[in-house]
Amino acid sequence: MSLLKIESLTKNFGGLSAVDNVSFAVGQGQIVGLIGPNGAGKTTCFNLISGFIKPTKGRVDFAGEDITGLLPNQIARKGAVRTFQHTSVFSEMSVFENVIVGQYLHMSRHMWDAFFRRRKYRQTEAAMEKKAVEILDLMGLLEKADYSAKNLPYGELRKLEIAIALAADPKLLMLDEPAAGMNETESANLVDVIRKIRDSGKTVLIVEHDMKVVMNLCDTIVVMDQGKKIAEGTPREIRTNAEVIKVYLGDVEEHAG
Amino acid sequence: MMKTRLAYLVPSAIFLLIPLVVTNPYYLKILITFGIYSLLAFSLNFIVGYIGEISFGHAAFFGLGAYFSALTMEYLGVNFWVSLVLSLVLTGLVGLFVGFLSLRLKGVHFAICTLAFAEIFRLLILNLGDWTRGAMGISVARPKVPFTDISLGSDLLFYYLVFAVVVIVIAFNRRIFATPFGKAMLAIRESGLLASSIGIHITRSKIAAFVISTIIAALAGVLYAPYIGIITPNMLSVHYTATGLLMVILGGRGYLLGPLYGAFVFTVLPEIFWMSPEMQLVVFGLLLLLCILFMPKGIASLLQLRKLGSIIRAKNGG
Repeated sequence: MSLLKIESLTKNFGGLSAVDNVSFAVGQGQIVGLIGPNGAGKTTCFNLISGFIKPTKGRVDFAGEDITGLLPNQIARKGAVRTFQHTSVFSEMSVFENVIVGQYLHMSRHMWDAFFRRRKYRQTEAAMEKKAVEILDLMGLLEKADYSAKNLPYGELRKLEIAIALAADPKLLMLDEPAAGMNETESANLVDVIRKIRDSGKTVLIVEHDMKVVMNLCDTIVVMDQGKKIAEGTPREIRTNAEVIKVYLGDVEEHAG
Repeated sequence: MMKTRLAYLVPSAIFLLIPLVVTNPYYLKILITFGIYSLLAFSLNFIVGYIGEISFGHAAFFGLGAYFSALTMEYLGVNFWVSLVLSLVLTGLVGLFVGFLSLRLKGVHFAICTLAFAEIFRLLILNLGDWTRGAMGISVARPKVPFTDISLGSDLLFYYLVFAVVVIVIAFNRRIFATPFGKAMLAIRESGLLASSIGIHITRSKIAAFVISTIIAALAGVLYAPYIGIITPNMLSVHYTATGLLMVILGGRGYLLGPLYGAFVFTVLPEIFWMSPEMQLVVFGLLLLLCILFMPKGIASLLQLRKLGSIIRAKNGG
């Protein structure tokens, strides 16, 4: 049963097809990687799925519902939450507050309880605080809970981003290059954390440049080049796919060597 | 908890007792002006401080509030308190309309759009002379205490009315920021993209903040009318908007009590130092310049008052 299914998704910017007739599916509980060289259209694909830009053509189904053309906040409400390539956190708030605000969808159901300070809201708050602690613990940020987000080092900022997205309790977590700028240890740790997130029942779609991360982590990998999908398969299949090696992995191995 | 209570009780007590010490009627008038202007600044703080936009037409809602109140009293024959409620509702509806249209824009475009609306409303009131008496203005009498015959004609009683309203508005501000909506506003101010990615409807939240802001502006206007005694279309002019904006920026935008400090500097200090109006403009200009250069976050930031977000956090025991 696939949680996310995109069909012939296309986005034209003027004459250029940033995403050209791409279809793939993300199964419930899977970790799916979306890879490809720079400019392949991975982030555009993310933006199309999460509603930040509207497709020229094609369709996005999420949890059996057509979500094509919905607004980002509506898509988040359906349960697909993303992070950004350029680190984006609420920098004037504390780490803890970031994760509380991340639970907006949950707390927004209790607007009037909050305004009139009903006792019920105190329980909601307590539950949110408990969840924030759990998420920060999972991400290894608990010790920094009271830090102002703007004072976190880069690697931890990237983790905080994921923590905020997790706080929204998504069915599908979409991570846009979470390991960018991380060192070996940090990205190895990230792989562990993402596995734990999946094991807690979430589905993960990840755009990533770091091959080690992708190969270690993903059940399925979708490879894009110049807007088109050129391959899809398990890490093992992708590793041996001639076309993939030509456009992408070949390069990486050269660099690695 | 105890500490925050004290932080509110002490200033409240001071303001309650001031009229007993300051018996000079002129000073009392200044304090009333201070209170009303601070309401205008509180209102603008919602837009400048929380939404992060600058409204150049905000006095429109200050003026509309006053006019709706005066006109409903005149033509519907209701008393001041009913007109107050009607005026807040009507101004809120106008605010909804203006916000709905203008909040799609940002920055300069939003500022110009609000300014244009303000001018439209001002010219409407000026030219619908049959109802509004145009530039002649409408005189508004001081109200009576509800269910009694006691007139609020004395400045002392009027001072307490304004004081009570300011306290209510501050309490309302605090409440709002403890709600999910308040947190959404803070989130939008910091990063709109991230806010929408976690499910916050940006436009809707901004419109809600805008409407709340216009209602507070109307409240200031409704109180200003009987205090001054006469309202003219001038109340909708950019002069009042600019004054309010200066107060918010100097006081500390986005801080709970920022507007209060700003209003104090602009209304009470000039009187203490006996400045002529021309001198005031020079000094205000200088103050604004210094403020932008050396404390862009305003007086409130100097006083080390924690931002609303942190207050909520402190309350949560962390």
